[in-house]
Amino acid sequence: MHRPVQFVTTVSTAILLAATAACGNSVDTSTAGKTSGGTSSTFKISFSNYTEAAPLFRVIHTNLDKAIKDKGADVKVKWYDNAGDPAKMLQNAQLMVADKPDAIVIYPVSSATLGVGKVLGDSKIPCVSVNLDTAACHFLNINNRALGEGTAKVIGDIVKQRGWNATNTTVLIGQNAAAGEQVNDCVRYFYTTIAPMLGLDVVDAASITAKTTKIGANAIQFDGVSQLQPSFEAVKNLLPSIPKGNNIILYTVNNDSTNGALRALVDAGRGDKAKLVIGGLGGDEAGIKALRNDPRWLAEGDIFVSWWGEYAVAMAQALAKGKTPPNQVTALPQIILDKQTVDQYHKAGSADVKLLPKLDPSNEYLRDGGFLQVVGNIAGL
Amino acid sequence: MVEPLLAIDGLAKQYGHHRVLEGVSFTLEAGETAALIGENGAGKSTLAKVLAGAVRPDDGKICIDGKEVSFATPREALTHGIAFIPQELVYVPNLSVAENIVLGRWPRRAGMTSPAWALRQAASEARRFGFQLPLDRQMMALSLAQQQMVEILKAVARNSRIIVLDEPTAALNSEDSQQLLDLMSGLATSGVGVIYISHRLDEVFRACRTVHVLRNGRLVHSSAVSDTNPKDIIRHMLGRSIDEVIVPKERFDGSTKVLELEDWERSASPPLRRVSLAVYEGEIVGLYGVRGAGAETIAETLGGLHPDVRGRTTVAGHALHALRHPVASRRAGIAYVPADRKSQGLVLTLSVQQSFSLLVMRALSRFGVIAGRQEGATARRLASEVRLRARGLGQMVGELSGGNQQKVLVGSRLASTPNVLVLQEPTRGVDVGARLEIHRLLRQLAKDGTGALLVTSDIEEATILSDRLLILRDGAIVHEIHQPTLSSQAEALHAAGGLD
Amino acid sequence: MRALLLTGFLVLIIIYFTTRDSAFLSRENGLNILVNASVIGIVSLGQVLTIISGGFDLSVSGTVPLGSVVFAILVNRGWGILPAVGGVLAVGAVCGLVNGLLVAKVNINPLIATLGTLSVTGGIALTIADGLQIPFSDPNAGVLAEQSLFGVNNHVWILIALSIAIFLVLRYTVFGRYLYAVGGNREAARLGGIRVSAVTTGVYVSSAMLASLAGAVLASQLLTGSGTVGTGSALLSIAAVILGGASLAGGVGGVPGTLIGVLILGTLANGMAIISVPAFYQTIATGLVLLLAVGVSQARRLRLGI
Repeated sequence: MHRPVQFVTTVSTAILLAATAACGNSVDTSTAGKTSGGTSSTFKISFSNYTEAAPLFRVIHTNLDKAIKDKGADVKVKWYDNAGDPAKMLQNAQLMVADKPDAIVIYPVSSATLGVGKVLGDSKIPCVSVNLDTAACHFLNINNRALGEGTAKVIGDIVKQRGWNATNTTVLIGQNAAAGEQVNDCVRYFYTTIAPMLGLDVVDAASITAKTTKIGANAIQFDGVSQLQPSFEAVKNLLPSIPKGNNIILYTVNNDSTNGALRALVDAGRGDKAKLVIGGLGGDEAGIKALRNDPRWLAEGDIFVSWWGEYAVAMAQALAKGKTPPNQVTALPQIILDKQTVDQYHKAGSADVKLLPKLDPSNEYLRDGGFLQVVGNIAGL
Repeated sequence: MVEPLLAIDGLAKQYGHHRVLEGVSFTLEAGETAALIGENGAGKSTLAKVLAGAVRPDDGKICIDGKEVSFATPREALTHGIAFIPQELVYVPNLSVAENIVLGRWPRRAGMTSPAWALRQAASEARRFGFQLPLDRQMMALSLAQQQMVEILKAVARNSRIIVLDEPTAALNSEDSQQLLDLMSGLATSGVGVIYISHRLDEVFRACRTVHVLRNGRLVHSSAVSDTNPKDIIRHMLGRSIDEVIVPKERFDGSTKVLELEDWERSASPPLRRVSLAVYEGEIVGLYGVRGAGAETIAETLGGLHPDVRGRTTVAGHALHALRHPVASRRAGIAYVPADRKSQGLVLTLSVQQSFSLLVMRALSRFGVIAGRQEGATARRLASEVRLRARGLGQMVGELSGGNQQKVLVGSRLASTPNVLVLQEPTRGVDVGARLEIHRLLRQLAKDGTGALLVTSDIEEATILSDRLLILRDGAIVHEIHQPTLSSQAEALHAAGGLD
Repeated sequence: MRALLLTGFLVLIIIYFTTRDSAFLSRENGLNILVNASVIGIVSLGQVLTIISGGFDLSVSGTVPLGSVVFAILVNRGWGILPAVGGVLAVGAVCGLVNGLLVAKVNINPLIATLGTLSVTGGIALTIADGLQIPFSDPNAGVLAEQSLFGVNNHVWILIALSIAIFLVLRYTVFGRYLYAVGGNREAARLGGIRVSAVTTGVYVSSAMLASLAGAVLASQLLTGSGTVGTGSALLSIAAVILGGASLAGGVGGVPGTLIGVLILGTLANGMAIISVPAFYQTIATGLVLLLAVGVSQARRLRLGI
């Protein structure tokens, strides 16, 4: 082959490999692969994250690494990126099993977890499944229903005082059908809780399904796929079906979706604070900031995503020790914040978490392993 | 003593071990038209590319007006006044003629330009140099001859003092070729030096003052055209003596018709008006006419390209339904050799063997699987029949010279032992040696009994090869010459309504 | 020549990843790579056919999820594995037929035609699945993903068998020869009397059937049919095919190169996951490798004047 082409190829390959090396290093600082170091007492976890590309999920990784480093905990985490793709999630599951760690944590990207469950189950390695259920793994999750009910109570109390009722109010809820029924419990139970408070049509939670678009006379459900742009588009398209002059109560599965919807409403001139109230979900920077500063934003379902890693590790350790969780679902930290309570849990002037809510019966057992105490940011520990 | 416009001294270039040019030296005066002749592979295109600045020589000097110059890029060559017009024209098809003319020299004001300005500038340049062109039409709508004129105008408008033309008349008919040659002599009169690369000896002798012959990278002959003759030139080119450029014709006396067209009519342009002709076994019938007269239309229709032609067609005694599609044409036993081997005839990425067998795959396969040994045997037979020069049957056709590619094309059509061969421009862009061999092949085929219909824009070739030459004008056959000779050219041209 | 260069590159990558983490070079991991690459491998076998013929098939990004969903539904209805695969192939054939007609008869540019079919097939996949995942009610239905001979999974054997078959077709059959001719110079093939529309349609049908089959394999791995998987199939398969030496202009390409291309991409993805590189870097790396490959082959082609 011609020499110049050979040269170009070799040089480019070298550059490419060097680049990947640099990338690999920059990601993989405090934690190392199976082969490098670690004493035999170090607890080894293989953790596949939903995606590393979105800050919401990336922070699970970075916070956990930092906490382990700062507190000198004897834990080593090897990270994998599911990239939001079910096939990749399966591949990572195979790789994690090959690591032969002490425990596996997986944050599934969809409910297509049967194949993954088989791989993990066959390996007999204790595993934790975060936020979405995987057969053969123990479930660590938020309680979506409680979030919806709690938020509805906070908001319902306030707007009832204002005289909002069935003649002048529309409830706008945003689901994500692809995320599965359980994730959408929050919006479902939001409606069933707030409806009787305001005199709206009461329906059974089970009747609000993935296909539902109209609920009674006063509520509309859209599918915002948990993302900003699709939510914007969806709400834009349904604006004509919201009666002019009605008050709007907005609640969706996450703040991206809520913000997309909000933008569409503001664009259409329906963002006035006298006629719009919002319930947030996520406890992310946008939500905390809005809760503090936006008069329309009355409540925030804070799920402390940035510290989920801490609970995952504690649960992984407990499982490895042979402990059986008392409940089907071990609870992740969650609380409904309102404008008065937000500063108890978040540092002034920022969304950084300063305190996590106290443990409840389903996750009490996590205190036994000691990891939560080492990190030391939970109320009552 | 006035320095010559262009002086080349000891130019050399090699690729790997292959010496493409060696010790080439000649001069060009202002106003001189010099022909550069040589077989394919002799080094003509490399020399042209060196002058054009596209290739850097390994050795030697180029001097313009006595001052030594060197070009790192074609743009530099242009600024020094050398313009190169390649055989495959390079233009922007969807821009207008005016915009193509001012390409790279767009009239600008504060970084902005407009089509109207381009038009104005192009118009003034066309007027200044006496060119008549439809400036506001899209470039791709022009005929090839017009496109070449645009290229030449581009060159002169840049005040190029040396213009190198590579085979400009290869794809033109005689009318357009003459127009081009006139243009060339006009350029020469205005002081431009022209280097004319061509295979057409008749044009060289008609229109050039000097002739340079390249063989195997060396300049083997330079003289005034008036001091030499075509036979000598060919001898210099090939390095051996050839008595005739012409292949002798056997008198044919077949009586079976292999092809008969009756009352062919076509209303779309170019039209056909009640054309009837017959081709007998062992006969080569030539069709000649200016572009649009109908000759190429008839060939294309036989290839299945014009389903709208009405009339009766009989091949080897079988009456055909309409020739709607190339598939129908093939089934009827017609082997069609299209005019443009690169774009219409050959798949350049296939090997020689694969190309030879491509049209007869059904015969060389069982249940869809190719019979490799049979394919090889067929390819070998055809390769020797056409006297192919290639590194091997596995060589990619795109790597062959024009003449050899043409041989593969013709050979592939012979594979099916057709009833009748229909050829369009069989030696376009092919060097003298290969052209001779293809002519020999066709005459041999005739001798063996295959009938052929030949459509060519090369009147000399038409008279050399045909047993009968039919002249078309405006869609109808107006004249027939039996057993034409070289001297029949004038008669043919006259009947075609070309030159008078 | 090119195959040698590619294999060398593959070896380089393997060496690199092994030095970063010795667990990379193990039988288990090698199997992992094969297992994961086989889905894209099957799609790429179809893609190389369309690319050789001078077109390409973007609709595979929709046909793969459609295949996975159809397979899941049929299997959940109690169909046996073979009939279910047959159903999946039939669905693929229909999609391919539409593509073929659009490109061959209606003369739409393959880019636009297959882009259009992509939206339709992808949309159908999502609609049939109601936007949800369709889990297998019987885990034994995932037999395509089961391990069998020598501990190698069934679908890897399927990939191997298909590779051999398509290699033979391309090299030794009339259809294969016609593919190269049509791709190399469509007009010359047409003027020579080759039935170009039939060849083109056949190619798109084959590609869609293979993509659909790949979807069934993927569903067997995940034990779930899903309208959201396989959406990157088009770009990945085209990348693998081009990496393997095919030309987007048509007329050039083959099975060995394509397989190496698939292996290179699969090894890169696997290796990068093992050394914990986030997925978006993997996308960048894949893109870089593809650019490199295309650049090298373009340089070679320019020199030959093709």
